[in-house]
Amino acid sequence: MTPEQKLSALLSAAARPEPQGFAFSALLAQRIARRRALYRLLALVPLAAAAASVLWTLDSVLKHQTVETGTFEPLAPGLLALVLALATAFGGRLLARVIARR
Amino acid sequence: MNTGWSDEALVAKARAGSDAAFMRLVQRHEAALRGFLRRSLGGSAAEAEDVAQEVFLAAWSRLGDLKDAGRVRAWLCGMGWRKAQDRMRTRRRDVARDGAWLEIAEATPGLSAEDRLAVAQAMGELSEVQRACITLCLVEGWSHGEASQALDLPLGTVKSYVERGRARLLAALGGSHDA
Repeated sequence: MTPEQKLSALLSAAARPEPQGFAFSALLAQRIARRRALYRLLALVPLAAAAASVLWTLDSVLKHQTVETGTFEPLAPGLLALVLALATAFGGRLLARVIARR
Repeated sequence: MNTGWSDEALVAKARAGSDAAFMRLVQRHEAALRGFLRRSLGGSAAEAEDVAQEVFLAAWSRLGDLKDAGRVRAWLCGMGWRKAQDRMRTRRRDVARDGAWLEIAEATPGLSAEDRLAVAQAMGELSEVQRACITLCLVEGWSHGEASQALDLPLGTVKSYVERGRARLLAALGGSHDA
């Protein structure tokens, strides 16, 4: 065999595909599922923050309206905070959807 | 699932959130990627498998970055090459022989024991990037341009590495060393 022929034989042997790795695919699927779960959990963080913000706002508005004044009238700052909290909640939900699709 | 779908169709479905489509892409390309990584890293199958896992996880996260859905394999090999480089930087390469190529040489009919050792030695002496160029262009049959894109190297550099690598292998097998 000439060196050229040997090299051709070597490159042909190297070109043989690796065997299909079913265990490889199974492990990867498991890791992807784990990562997706983590992303979903992280996507819940803005929602949790928004929920906490809504509750905190409601709590202060209701306290001010009922305990301190004895009446129940909407307050502009309280409503503004409520709107902001709701906007955060919707934004968080949107973000959660985007992340969950990955 | 229809196994006759093109890469483009599978990428579109995977981008829409289908894990099944993504896993079909994995099954289609994992053997080629592991082979490329193994021959480029010159190490064990387990090491190539580790890197390939990282590549597919990154691909799953960054599927939206893929510009040409018809070139999934080149995209994966490019990512694999960058991760392999990171891996090689962190480990000291002090092996005198290339284990992956020694196995290939052992599976090649017509090579003497001396030839096998000489090939493994020659591949071990080449730089990682030269081995990657040889793997893609001489083994996988990619064009120099495709390898240049995947490895992010100038075209002339890829051509030079392939020619020099080929000459080095020929010399190891008893041929002339004039490239």
